[in-house]
Amino acid sequence: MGMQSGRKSATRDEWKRGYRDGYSRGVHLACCEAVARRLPPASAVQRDLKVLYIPQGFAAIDRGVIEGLRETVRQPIVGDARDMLRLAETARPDLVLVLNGLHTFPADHASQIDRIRALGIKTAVWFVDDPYFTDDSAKVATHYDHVFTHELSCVPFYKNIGCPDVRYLPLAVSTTLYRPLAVDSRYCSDICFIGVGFPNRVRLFNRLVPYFSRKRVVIIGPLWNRLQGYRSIAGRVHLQRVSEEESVKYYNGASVVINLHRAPDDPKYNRNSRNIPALSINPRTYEIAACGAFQLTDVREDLPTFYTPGYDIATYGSADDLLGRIEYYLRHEDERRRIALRGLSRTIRDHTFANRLRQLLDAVFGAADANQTAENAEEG
Amino acid sequence: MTMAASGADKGRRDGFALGLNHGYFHGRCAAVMAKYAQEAPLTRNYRILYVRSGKGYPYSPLDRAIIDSLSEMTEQLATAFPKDDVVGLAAAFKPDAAIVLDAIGSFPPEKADALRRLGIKTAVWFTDDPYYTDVTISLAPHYDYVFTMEQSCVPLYRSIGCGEVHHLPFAVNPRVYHPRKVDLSLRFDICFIGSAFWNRVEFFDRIAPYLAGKKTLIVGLWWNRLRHYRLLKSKIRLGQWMNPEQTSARYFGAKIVINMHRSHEDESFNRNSRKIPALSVNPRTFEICGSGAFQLTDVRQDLERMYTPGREVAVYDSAEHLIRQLEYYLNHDEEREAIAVRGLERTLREHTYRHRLAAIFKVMFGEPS
Repeated sequence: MGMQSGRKSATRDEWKRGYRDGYSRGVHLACCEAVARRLPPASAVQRDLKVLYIPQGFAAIDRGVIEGLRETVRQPIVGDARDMLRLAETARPDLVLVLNGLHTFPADHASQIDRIRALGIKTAVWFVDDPYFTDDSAKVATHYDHVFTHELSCVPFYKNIGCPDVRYLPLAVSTTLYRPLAVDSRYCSDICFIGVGFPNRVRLFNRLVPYFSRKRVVIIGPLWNRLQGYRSIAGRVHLQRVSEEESVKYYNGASVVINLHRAPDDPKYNRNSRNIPALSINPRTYEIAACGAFQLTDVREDLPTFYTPGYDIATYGSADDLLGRIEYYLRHEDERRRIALRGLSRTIRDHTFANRLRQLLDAVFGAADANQTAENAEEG
Repeated sequence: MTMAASGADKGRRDGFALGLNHGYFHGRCAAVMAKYAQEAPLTRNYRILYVRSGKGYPYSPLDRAIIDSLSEMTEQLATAFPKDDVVGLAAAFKPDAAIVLDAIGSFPPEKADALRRLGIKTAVWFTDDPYYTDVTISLAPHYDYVFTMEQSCVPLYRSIGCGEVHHLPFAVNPRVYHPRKVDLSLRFDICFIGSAFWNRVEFFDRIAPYLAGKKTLIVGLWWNRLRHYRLLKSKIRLGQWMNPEQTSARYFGAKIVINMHRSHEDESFNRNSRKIPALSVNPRTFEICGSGAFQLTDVRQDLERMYTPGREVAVYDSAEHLIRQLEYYLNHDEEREAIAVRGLERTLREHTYRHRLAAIFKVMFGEPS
């Protein structure tokens, strides 16, 4: 009898806890949706251009670029890196746009680009792994008419190695993929981190393990079994990668999502022998914010250009600082929610791929003349 | 162990799912409130003297709502009780306008005349029309401006020579009536809060068997007059006193809040010898919608000018119809919640006391709309 009623009261307590969690997430979700609805509709102006896009295989970014191109140009085409020359020959686009051009790209990547240029077709690459793989990107960058990098510190680098036109183009987020969402209680946590357990991350998290063991924590990503005291939180660590769709759910279910940039000077995992510093923020910054989730991030120099710390994002310095802030924001739900809502609003307004692609197209083709575009549209 | 754990898991899942529903609805309401909270009221430079009703409930919340709104809208506000030396105060304060609430039996017409002689524009706002028209008809001519909550009384005051007569409906004080997190013990399917006037008793006796099968809450005086009192006894809080905040919480916690106007022929109101009908809606109409609740109301002629039936409130015209509507909206969560959210939005857009006072200012000071 005693055990039975113990069970019943445990179930009741869990029910109440679930109700509390669900309630606060429900309130926030509705507020997020309202924020998104109130934003002015995005510009519907399309340039009369044919763009051949070559993905890197970064699912979230490729999807964002493709969606962004559909919004900004009349004829977007998506191709494959092995085939880009042949596709360019047949489709005769105004521009071949390559995302990142590393890792899985074929060995004849540079010669294909050279021959595309020889056809009189403009070529552009957008590097989104800078500065971590600059040893590789340096080898192909000079073959393009236009180089875009999401990393501020890499602009002078590409100029120095002889690229004719180099511009800074920050990352963005697909708001159809990363968005506020109703999730079930399995995705709920106090604290969530998703990403590879790189050494700099493990070092910081080592200090937090005792605290984490008392909280509802979810950590997702390879290499986290290297944490000191891993066993005490092993049940809350998933060592496999999860899909972007799953990440969205975990972000949506978390009270606090931690963002921690990887180190630019990691000899084991990087190919950045010149030790180019990292000033710019990662895609995850935008992705977390686009879910309407509350984000605590470490500070890259470039951060204030995109978010205002303390207003639409929260930041931390040391491990102790992070711990103090987690604790503070877990206890101050309203403040947390307000910051997250502002972060969502800022992201949807400013940090979409369509916005970035308009900048890119302006750089390649000159600023779009709205009247000109409208006239073209009528003729078409 | 495993069983206990899975019971706990299921408990958490179930609790979460319900909490998410309740929270999501609250969030939709909160988003509407946030939208209207951003609209700062226009501050005017008028000097206003407000003379309270000076009576207790239900006039005191009205006084509070009007003073709350006036203090947001003008920086030069003096308030007085009718028994105060209002004329002396006015002579010193030199207001542009004096607004008197109710005045019935509390503020002598001679005082209104004295205010007028000081060169102050005077206004009275009658809140009990048409039930005390035998009295108000002798008060009205003593004021420059007459405002009445009851549409049907506008021609009456005009017919006795009042030049400026305007319909000014009830409204809501959003500081008091608004959506809020409600303890689960206060959540009901169907809620009615109000006294058991005879027209309501007769009506509720007809729907009592239906209400008995639902999670129902009835709060108010005299409900033991029901023939079916024993059937509903466990659902009735007889004569339980609740302040407006508690009332608002129960509205928001209910899936459906019933509104039923009292009858203008009720014998308790015997100062309406002209039998002027009641066409305008009661304060509860605004208070239910302002609380973010779904309202099912009987139809007064004026209702359509305040809320769009089927869109911002739902309506019924008979006991049978009420039961059909209850059953329908209990089983159509999305429609019900959408109507409640739209009702809240309409309220905050048009039916707060700030809107009413802006209307008074417009009439008295010729403000452009």
